[in-house]
Amino acid sequence: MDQPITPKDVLQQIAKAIPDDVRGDIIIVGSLAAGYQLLRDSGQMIRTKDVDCMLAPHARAIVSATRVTDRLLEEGWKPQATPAYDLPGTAETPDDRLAVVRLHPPGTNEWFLELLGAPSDVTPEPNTSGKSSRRVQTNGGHFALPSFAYLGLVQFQPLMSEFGIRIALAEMMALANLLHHPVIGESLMGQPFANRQIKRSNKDLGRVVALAYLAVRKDEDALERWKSQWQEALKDRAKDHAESLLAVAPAGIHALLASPPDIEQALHTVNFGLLSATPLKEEQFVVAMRRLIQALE
Amino acid sequence: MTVQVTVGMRTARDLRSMLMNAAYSLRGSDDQEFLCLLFKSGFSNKRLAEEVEQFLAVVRTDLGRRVHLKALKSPSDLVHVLPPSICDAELEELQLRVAEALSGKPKNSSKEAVVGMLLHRWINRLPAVKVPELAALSGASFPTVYAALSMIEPSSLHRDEDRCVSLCGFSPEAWQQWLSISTDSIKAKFIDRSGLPRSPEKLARQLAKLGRQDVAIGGVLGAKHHFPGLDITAAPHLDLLMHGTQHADLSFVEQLDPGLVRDDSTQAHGHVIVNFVNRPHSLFVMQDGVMWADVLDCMVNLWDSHLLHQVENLINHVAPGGLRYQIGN
Repeated sequence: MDQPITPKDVLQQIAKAIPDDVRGDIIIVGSLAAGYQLLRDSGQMIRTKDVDCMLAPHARAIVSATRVTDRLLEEGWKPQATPAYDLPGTAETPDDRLAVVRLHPPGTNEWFLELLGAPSDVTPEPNTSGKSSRRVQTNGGHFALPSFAYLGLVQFQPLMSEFGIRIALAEMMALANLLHHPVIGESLMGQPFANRQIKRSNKDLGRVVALAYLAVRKDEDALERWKSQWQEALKDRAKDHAESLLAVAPAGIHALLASPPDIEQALHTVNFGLLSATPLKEEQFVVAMRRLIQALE
Repeated sequence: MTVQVTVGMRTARDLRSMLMNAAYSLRGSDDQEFLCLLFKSGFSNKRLAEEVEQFLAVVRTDLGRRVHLKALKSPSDLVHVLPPSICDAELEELQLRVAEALSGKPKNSSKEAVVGMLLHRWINRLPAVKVPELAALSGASFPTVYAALSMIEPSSLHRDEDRCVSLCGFSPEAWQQWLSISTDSIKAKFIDRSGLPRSPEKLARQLAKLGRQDVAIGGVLGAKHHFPGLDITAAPHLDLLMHGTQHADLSFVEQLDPGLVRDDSTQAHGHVIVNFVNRPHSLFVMQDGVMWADVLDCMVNLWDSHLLHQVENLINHVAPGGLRYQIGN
């Protein structure tokens, strides 16, 4: 089971451990970013095991990832061992055996920090793949730095936290997830989620709905601004494909809405994740989806 | 069998929503059927068939086969689509519902509507009218108009030498009586099922986006539009006024918020309450893209919400001379 953490505390701990001159290259994404901006006022805890940090821009991502990893290892952070990957990786380790940088802070195994790299650009067509990886050579061995096709969109106007680390906007994380899953794909998550096998698309689309729900809970007009923010972001990061990507963005939510078994899975993931403190009933989850669709039309 | 009648449906979103709601409503039974009747819809038969095919592809088979969709031209077509087991009384009741839904407007008005029209003319300083004109304005028959006039205290009713009538005052007791009778009408209540209800202000903004001419904002928001100094800080719910009967198509409410669902039970606390205007002229006024209900209709909504102090506040603002003393004293 993922452990409950307080977004502000974790962010402060990461900020302290990271060198000043690379702190500005980090953008926090995922549950922590969502919790920081949407649950901060309530002081609510969130359940997550991973804290995702994207290194941007793409051109500096490898150098920054190396420096961050070296520094955290010096500070006593420990790499997470996974049987499927070689740890420590060496120059001889094949790319597909390289472990991702996943570091537990000193004294706890409750959560780990995971490094991601900004992709070079936004993939023109929505799809369910788009993962790429580059090799990082650190004092602690060789690692992989993965990138995801649409995650580069979180570089659009991230928030600056009081700890000097940037936080991805909730609506940009939602857009990245939507473009990643225009349909309900069949691939499953690598690990069971709260003791269940879950489709990756259901987890990611469920996250979109949870972000929308929390955004509305904070400001009932929030969703009306999402579409214009998405337009701006896509013009900025994928100018030639902005219109087509924007048009297809709601497709994943339509697909989810039409499939009750997938709705049930998606709801399971958010009720054991971002919304664990205030779980939703299925009816409420469906309303949140329909409100999002209404705002995007 | 549950039958839903809609008139003038134009969008695929509304159609899909109706079909899905039908499927949801059938979850609790194994043999209940749901018939969706479309009149004056904007869909071709081919398009409807496509929509039904898509609907059947995404819902459970045992639910989908019990939802039926028919596009009809007139109430007389009903006999061709209803099951043979339906009795004459049910058929007649359904035909009546369809006829009313197709007409969409009230057929006659009541005594309180006549008094309401006199009040409207009095507070707006409009000239006195003869009985036939009053009957036409309020949509009432002559006997109803005379009955209404007999209800008014003689000291408050002015008759001039041209046989024109107008109000020259209205006592607190008369206000109380008129408000009480006026609130005793059929309403449609919609409750929130999201757990995160939209504010009445946001719902009102959504309504303005729809550009409806036949639905206006009433209640606290409407009253505050007419009298910004009204002594209240927030609306407890959104009151809407619809120019039509209770059989009118209310599917627009879902466009205000997909989290709203109709619940007319007495214990339900309506988050949106649709009231029906029972007269030929709605008296709605469009201002800055927003349709506002007449101030007297807003006052009736306040009374219905037990906001007595605010009702008095509003009467003092709009009625010539205000209230002589508090209502109920």
